[in-house]
Amino acid sequence: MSDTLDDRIAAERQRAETYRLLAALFQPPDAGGMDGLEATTDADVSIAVGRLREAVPDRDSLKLDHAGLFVGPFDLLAPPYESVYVDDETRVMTEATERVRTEYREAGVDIDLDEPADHVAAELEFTYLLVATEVEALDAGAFEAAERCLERQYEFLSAHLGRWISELAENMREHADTAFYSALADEARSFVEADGRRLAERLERLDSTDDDLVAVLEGGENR
Amino acid sequence: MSSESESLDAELETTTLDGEGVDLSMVIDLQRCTGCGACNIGCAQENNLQEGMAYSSRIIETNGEFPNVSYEYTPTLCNQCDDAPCAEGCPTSALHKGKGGITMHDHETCIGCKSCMINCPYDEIHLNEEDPHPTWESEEATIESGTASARAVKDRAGVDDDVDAPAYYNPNREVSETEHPTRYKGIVEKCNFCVHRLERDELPRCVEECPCEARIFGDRNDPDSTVNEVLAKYNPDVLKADEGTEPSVNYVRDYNGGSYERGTGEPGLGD
Amino acid sequence: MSQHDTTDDDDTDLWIGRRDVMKAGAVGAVAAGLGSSLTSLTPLAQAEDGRTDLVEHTGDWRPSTCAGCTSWCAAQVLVDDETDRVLRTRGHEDSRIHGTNDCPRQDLGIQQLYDPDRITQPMRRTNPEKGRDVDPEFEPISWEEAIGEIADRIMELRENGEPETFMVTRGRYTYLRPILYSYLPQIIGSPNNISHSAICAEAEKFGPMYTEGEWSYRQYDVQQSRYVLAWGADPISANRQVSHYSNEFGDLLDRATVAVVEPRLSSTATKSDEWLPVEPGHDGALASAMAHVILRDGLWNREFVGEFEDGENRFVPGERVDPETFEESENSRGVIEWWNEELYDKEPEWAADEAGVPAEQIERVATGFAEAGPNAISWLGGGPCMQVRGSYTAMAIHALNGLVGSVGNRGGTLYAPSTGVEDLPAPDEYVDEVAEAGLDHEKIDQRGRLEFPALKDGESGGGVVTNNAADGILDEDPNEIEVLISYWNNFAFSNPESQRWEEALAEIPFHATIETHASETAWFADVVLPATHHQFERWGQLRSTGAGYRTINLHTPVMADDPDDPEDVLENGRLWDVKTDETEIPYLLAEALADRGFENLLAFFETEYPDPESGRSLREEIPGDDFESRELRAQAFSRNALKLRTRPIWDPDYRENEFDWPGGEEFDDWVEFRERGIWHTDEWEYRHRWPSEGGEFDTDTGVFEFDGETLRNALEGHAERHDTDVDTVLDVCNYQGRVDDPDAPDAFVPHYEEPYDMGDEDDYPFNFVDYKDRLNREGRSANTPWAQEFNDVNPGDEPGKDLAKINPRDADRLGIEDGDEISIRSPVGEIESTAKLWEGVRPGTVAKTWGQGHWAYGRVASDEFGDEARGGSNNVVIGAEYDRLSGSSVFYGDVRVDIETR
Repeated sequence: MSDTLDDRIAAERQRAETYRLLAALFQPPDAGGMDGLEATTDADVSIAVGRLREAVPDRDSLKLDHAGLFVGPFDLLAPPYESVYVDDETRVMTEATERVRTEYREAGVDIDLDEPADHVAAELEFTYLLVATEVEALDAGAFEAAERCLERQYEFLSAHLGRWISELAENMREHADTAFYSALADEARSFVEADGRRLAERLERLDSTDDDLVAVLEGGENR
Repeated sequence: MSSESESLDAELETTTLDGEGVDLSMVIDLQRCTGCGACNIGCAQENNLQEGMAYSSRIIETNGEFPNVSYEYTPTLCNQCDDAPCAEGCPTSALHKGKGGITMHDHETCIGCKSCMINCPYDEIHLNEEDPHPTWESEEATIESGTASARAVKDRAGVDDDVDAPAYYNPNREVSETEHPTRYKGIVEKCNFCVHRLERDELPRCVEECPCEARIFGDRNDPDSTVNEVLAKYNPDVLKADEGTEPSVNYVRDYNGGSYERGTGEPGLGD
Repeated sequence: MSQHDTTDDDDTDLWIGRRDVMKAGAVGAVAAGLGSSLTSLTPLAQAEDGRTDLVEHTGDWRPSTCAGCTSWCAAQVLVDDETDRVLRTRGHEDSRIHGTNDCPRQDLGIQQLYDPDRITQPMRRTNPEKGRDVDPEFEPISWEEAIGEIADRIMELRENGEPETFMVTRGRYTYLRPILYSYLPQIIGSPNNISHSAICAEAEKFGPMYTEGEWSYRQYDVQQSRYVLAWGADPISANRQVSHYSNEFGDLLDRATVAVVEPRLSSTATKSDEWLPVEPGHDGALASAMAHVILRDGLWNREFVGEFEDGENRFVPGERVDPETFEESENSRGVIEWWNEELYDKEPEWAADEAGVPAEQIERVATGFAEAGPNAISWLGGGPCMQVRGSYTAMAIHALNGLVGSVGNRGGTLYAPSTGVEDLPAPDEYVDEVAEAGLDHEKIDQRGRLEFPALKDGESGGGVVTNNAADGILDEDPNEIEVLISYWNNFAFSNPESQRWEEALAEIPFHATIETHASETAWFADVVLPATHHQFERWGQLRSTGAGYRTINLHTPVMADDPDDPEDVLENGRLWDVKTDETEIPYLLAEALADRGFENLLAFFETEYPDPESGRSLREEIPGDDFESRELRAQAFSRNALKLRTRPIWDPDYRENEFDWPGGEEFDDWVEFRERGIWHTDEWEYRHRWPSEGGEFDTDTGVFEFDGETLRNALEGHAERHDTDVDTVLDVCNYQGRVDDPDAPDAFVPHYEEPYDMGDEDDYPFNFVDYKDRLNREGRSANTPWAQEFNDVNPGDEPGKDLAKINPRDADRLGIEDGDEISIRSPVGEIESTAKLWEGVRPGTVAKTWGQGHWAYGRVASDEFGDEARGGSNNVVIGAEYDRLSGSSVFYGDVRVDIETR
């Protein structure tokens, strides 16, 4: 049983790492995310890091593309803010932003970028934290707590990150100059959406069957 | 006192920030307003404002010729516009629409570019050209060893050196991990409907302070709110309606209440 | 689904309970553990529910009272519990008069409390010279030294057998005032206790006194009124219950007509139905004309006034009436006399010519007022009566209430129901022979002399003539003043022709002043004793009147946790080494005098002022002869005095057995009362003074008088005292009324007198219209930044400026433009000001807000402390004249000035 549990935990850890890496890759290239990419193996995460590594161009092109997509100063080609997709496409710092920030603060963290709280990197990192907390709970044998973590992750994805990741990805694919950001769009979208679906299935199963958490976590391995 | 204060208190219970789709609005009943300025002083004290930074202010107009003179006092504040030009034009989104429809200002993101001041048609945004309350730094006594000094008062009141505020400053204003009772040089500031009070289920200071109970505050999306009741009863006006900013601050009735038909409470010709 | 118990105890703390895991504890802890590997988020320190970074300051709302004006609103002060700082002040929530509503001036008190210019400890003058341009060169001294110096001086006076050369002047007080103001001078042996009342609005009291027998201010039942006719009164701006009337005003406009008689567009006038821009000094003409209209058109109240026996109205313009044809009501007398002697020919057209108000407006207002009767108020303010001949105007204006029957009636003019406070123990047994001899002298303000009838309560010389004390001092008539203790006043600024006070104060050999700031008065003092701030730092008792009630409200030392503990109060209850004027200082003085061999004052306090609860005397409570013990006793004395004063309210035994309890709220013990800090009378009973309802008015005749019968008695009494006749009295006092002169107004009925010009009309073509700043706290708020920043609450004024408002037509004629620097000159003085062209000013007048012009007080009030004034003080151009029948100083109506660009 504990072997299975260990496997499950490892799989969850992989989920967590995936979110973390994605968060880092949406940041400006100089922020250190690219180093993370270098250090990650396929086994660590649930996305195709190899593909991403291959798609990385020279530094300058990368920076330029990142800026054009996500930073501006004027028209953002792929605005990385939830508010734009959920509230008003011309507005940042909306109620959606406030709601997300409230979620962070209620959980005991806060945005640490010079950006609105609903920046994609922050939302990805927050999800990472939620999964990392789940992992700790599993490690400690606190399964009820771990279940709650799963619920929390699902709530966050369905209320926030999951709602707009595909539109963001579409903008990225349409406007990216480099293959890297196109690839990132693909990987991010498919991972997040799949993860969301999987969470929904797990929670449904926990709710309607007698299966315990360990059993439900099956199927979380690398796809 | 009128039963207004009771209904305002009841209003508090239904007006919270956290509800989705809360649209906060203020109505100023000009017939009740006596132009006393208690709101201005209360706001200055609540927000630790120095001279010249009044969020709550006034437009005063005298018209006509003696003896047919009219004088009108109109209380003003940030209109928390639904379509806020200040927020739209803010390059860092320091100014942004937040909870309850309040135009919020994150002073840590503000770069002091003053675009908002240009964009605001109501002149309700103020720039800190220096760190506030410089007079409260003074160690000079008007009479040596006889009167106090600003520094001495702060010491006696137990107020830290690094607090750029008077000895009577309000500690509950805009508090974060370390207290920030005032803003600082290089950034702007403006009325935020006392969001720090709303979060504690208290009405904005000007609303509570008005001895004439001329300010009504609440949620427009709540059909039962007093705000909606008042707006339905009278013909509301906003300032500079043609600017299209959709202010959340409305005015009803007339400062010159004398134009009313007595005993009916109904508007006369002026409304 | 089987639940798994948690197994690993070490890590389970984070995981207790389903809900807890989502508290910041878990996620935040995880985040904290991850530290630098996070790139977008950061853990919050100690986050609990996401809002713990809001440092929640809480505090207590503690009771006190605002004394910014004599509305004396009961208040509550918010004291922050972490730092004991005063953060806010508001109206007292339990007050039935105003609740938490307070006018803007209450908040200014906070800037006063924390004013850097407050005096922090006693000071002594080292420069022997005294003068406006002379720096006193104050040095700090201890309380012990300061009190000792005063005691030395008093001893000297008594030893020389001239205790009458001792003087006390009073300004802002509480009802503990007898201790310093009455009993201390009495025991020392001086009759020279001089109050400020005559520079307040004393002439206002003359009206109700000589019609219904009540020498006091009124409250107005606006909640039930249908017409408010305000004469120089500005209830949303100034005395006497601004919080209440401001709160009611919006509703009042819905149910009533409001008309304002005022030369300038006052705050109340800006919102009223009618503005009657009367020519200054001519209010009496309007009052007579309105009374004329009311009688002419048969609009008087039959029940209160009476009726013609055959029902036919004989009040025909120009015709006198046979008194036999009229049956007076049992409630009043003399309306026929009033008509015959004054009103019969005072038609609106005549008044229009005299007073500059259109005849049809006079008709309309008089008619509307009377038709709304008895729910109609003729509201007497200071404007029409603080004039040389103002007493008669006061009578006329108040008599209008009699005509419509609103006296003490629903929607009319009321007084205060009786209160349950006890007189403080009096010192009669402690007055020795030296003192008796001293007391038997004339007062320094010369009240009661032929030229100063000051007929308070019907008595010759019964009232104070404040401003004249300066002349008494300067002329050493009746005697010199050698030692002065002044408290909470600034006579060198607040009296008309204030320059005389500067001279007078410079003459006094020893002057000790008790105030919070180094005012213009302190500038001339020898010893400055810093005072507690009344709103926050002391025990005291005041009262507030409105909405049919009177409240007794306390000042309490709000910054102390246990205000009953003298030590707590001395240490925490005040910002500086300051003391209470009326109690602590007299006590310390009593000890110092006893040290020097004069024990009466101390014996009086020790014997008569025990703690009524414990029965312990001061010395029993706090023994010890060192100065610190004395200071503690002085504070205990303050508390005891207040407990004794309010005893019927909080001591059931005393209330039932030793006091004639009038009714009102009842408390069971002292702590219960002082924690609430406010007590209410029963509600005013409408008409309870009406003889027809079994009551009585306090006039000599027992009824409401339209014929001035009680005034006749008072005037005759005064004339007799001086072996002369009433006509001589009136002549000497500058009135036009005479007893039996067909070419003069009647001396006794309410009547119009032409204004007495203070200055030749040709040399001084303008009438000066003074009025008090809406943010004025009795002359003390000019040093608060808020009062300067927001002073455009005075209609026509602009922030931070001291403007002389002129009608644009006059300005045009004189070639004066907006913003021009001008000088305003009267026969007695000159000030500099800035011109503002404003339509709310009657042509031929200059309107200027009173309150600026300080050259001392502090850094904000003055342009340069001790040197240059900020703005101009109105009192420099207002001459020292009096409405001698009441003793009031003149501020309005008759002051003439000239203006020109500088």
